[in-house]
Amino acid sequence: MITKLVEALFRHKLLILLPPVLIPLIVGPLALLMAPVYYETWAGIWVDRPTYLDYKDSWNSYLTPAQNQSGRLGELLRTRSFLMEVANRTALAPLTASPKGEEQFRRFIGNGFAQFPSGSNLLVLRFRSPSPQLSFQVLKAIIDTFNERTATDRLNQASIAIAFYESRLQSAEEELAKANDAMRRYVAANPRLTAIDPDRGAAATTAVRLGLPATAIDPTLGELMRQLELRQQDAERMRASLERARLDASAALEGQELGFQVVDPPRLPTEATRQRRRALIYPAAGLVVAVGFSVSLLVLLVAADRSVRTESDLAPAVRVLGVAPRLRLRRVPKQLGPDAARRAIGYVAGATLALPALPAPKGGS
Amino acid sequence: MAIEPAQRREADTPVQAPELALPASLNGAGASRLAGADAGAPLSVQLPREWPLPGADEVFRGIYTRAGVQSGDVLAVCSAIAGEGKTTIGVGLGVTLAQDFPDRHVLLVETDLQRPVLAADFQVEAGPGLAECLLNGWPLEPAYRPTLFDNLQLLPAGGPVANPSRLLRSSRMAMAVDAMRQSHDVVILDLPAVLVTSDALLLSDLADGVILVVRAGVTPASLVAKALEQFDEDKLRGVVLNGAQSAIPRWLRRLCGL
Repeated sequence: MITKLVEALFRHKLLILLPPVLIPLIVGPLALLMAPVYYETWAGIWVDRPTYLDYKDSWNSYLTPAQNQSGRLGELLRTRSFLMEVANRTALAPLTASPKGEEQFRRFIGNGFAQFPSGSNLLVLRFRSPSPQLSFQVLKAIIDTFNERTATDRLNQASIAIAFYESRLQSAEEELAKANDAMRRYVAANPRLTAIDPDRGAAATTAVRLGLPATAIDPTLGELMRQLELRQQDAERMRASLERARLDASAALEGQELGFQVVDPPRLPTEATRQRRRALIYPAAGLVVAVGFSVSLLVLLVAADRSVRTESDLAPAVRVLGVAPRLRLRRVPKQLGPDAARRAIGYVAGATLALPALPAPKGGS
Repeated sequence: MAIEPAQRREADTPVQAPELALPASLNGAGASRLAGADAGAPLSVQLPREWPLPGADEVFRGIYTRAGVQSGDVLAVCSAIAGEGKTTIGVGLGVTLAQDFPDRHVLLVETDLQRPVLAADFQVEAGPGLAECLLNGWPLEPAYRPTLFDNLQLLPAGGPVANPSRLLRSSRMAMAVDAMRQSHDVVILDLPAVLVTSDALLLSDLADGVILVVRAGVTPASLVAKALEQFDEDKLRGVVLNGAQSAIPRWLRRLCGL
């Protein structure tokens, strides 16, 4: 079967090979001519983390800064609120009025926007659109919205953290005040703890007399003292946490400026370009289709060929006496047509080949 | 008795002379046409009298050997449909037999009265041929055309006749075949296509053996089977596949063993 297919391929090589050659040649220029014209706006973003500022964020330490920021931007672009915010900054704002318009804008962004992390820190953004103004507007809107959204997010996080630690500090201070009051009241209620011996002066309290601290002779006082110290420690810790939260918030806001620097701002495109993908995909698809067609044609030709071609097509049903090859008569004029082989064989016995005379073969004298 | 291969004649080897003088045996109007205005004058063609394809004679040699051609055989060469190369094979067999067996007389008879070609190929007079001899009851000998080989003669179909089938089915045809058998060692009958006219079947009955020619890549297998059904199994010597040529390039065949 394979031999028959290969045989048919070479026998009908023009018919089989023409579609894969011809179709891409036709489709290629057509696809190039019919490819839509668009304008591209590019922007370069330098993404970095401040080395000397220490703050916690959601960055993946195994990815480069550019990849981290790219991932974040990609996630945001999948949210409706972000897209609508972008749309409202462009001429396509009316689209946000209806769900259908929102969907159109989502597709518009999906088809036109692309981001390419280039190296560790450079993130290249591109937006493609049929209109240069729109291309510029949308990319600028994406960058601005992302920047603002990130800053707002960080600010919100910082505010929440500060508010949280402030409330904790307030509670700790209230607890401290309560412990202090309790202590003061207890001491006031137990003057012996602070009674002064006229003979021995201020050091003549009972505890002093015994050579022990006051808390040792009064467990309640000791407990109150311990509570007071705990509350003081809590308050101190909360104060420190609040300070750290404020510092972190400040660092994060400062870091955001470094983390998303627009080094190459988007510019209004002046030259239109054609979509290369279509110019490549269509001829490739044409080639695939043509190859499929050729293969089908080849199989069809083999399946439809009922003629006897080889000795094996005859044997063993009949005895094959011989296989006479097709004679290749290079020196015989074409006017002889299909009779050339017969006349050439008969020529040995006197049959004529053709008139006028044929040129003498090489080597013949 | 099977013919023993004889030494190849000188004519079998390429003739180096660019111009050939006609042999003395070649005479008559056909000879003068073949030679030009004067018999014995150099031929107008300047090809050596060699086989057009090296090894082609070996192919015909193999065919007659496998077909078991014997002295006194009347061999019919036919095909299922027209244009399969039965005349080519017939001419090739006749030439090769004449070359290989100089002591045997070979006669090539064209029985396809509707599509005669031999006279034109050999540039001899079309008539009188087989048709005229059968029609008029003439003896066959004067109608035999000589060739460059002394032991190879032709009997062309002759001029157009009104009812060729009736001639071929007549008893004169059977007697003519008997006469050919008497005068020649091997008679090759070039028959019409068997599925085109029933004359071929009738003529094959007069022959001792039948060779069916099949054009490779042209004749459908179903027609070959149908043609084979027509012949008596005992008479059918075998099939010759004509014009077989693999389209696969030789280097690929060698590489892949196809």
